[in-house]
Amino acid sequence: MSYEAVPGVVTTRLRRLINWSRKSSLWYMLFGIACCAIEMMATGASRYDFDRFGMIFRASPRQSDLMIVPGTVNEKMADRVKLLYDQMAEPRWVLAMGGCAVNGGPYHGEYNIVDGVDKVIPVDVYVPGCPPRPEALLHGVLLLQEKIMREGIEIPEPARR
Amino acid sequence: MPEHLQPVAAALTDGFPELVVEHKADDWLEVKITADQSPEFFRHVKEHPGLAFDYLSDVTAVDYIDQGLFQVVYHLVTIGTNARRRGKLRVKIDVPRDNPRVPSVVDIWPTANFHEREVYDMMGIVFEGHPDLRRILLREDWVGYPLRKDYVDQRPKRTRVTR
Repeated sequence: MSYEAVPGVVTTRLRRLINWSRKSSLWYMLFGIACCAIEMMATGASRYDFDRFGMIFRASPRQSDLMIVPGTVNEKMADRVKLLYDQMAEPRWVLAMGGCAVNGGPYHGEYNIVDGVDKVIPVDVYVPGCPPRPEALLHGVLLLQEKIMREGIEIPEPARR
Repeated sequence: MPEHLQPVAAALTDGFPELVVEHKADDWLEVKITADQSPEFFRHVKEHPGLAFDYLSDVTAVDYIDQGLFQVVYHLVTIGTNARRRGKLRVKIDVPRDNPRVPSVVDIWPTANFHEREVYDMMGIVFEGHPDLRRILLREDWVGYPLRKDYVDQRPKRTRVTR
């Protein structure tokens, strides 16, 4: 499904409103695979706090907008990750957290390891680290918010290079 | 061999006269047996009052590819009273690499269920008598045994998924 603007129709203000409301209330799925899940929990806890960005965790994929994939995805888990991603309703985004989810990390090329979760589901933001610090994960979330704000907005002709 | 372990070593050879009991660091006693001796030896180890090793800590295996054999290793401990003075037992069984079959010890120590499934999954050693011998860590349709020294990964390459 594409979010491209239709030429000749002014959607700017409505689209900006929609984008703003989506980015300000990103409910992420309570989905922890491995060690990065601890850092995700730490980011969600009081010192670094996801809640001030409007992000609360939902245990069910059907109620989440964002799937943060924290941890190593192995062959057995890959099927389950795809299943959960398929159960999310659009608009949905994926953030690959940690080296393992980005490209396999320390286990790149090993048996039973999928080299990066983007071999299974489409990823929007990659946050490297082993594990990434809470500040790094928050930076990744803010980048995702900027990406969401840009969605569906057609860039006017003079600005295009 | 330290004094407090000598009665344990004596109880081990009681009924198995040709057994050689070695003493290793940290109070470990090491014994090598054959696959045929395995069922009665393990029963003896669990039930003999002087031994009574009631806790199977681990079942694992080593691939000696240049000697053409697998070595299945059992680590047995006791957690009853007097555990310190009774030492710890390591049992090694050599099996040929081309047909690795070992009797299962699930009926003696039920914890062996998952340990033996892992050894089967990683090395391909078949445990005879195991109630449910199937893969535990890898996918059910996996081909090959990864921790063998001649394992080659034959998965098709995955490509990046985009929206």
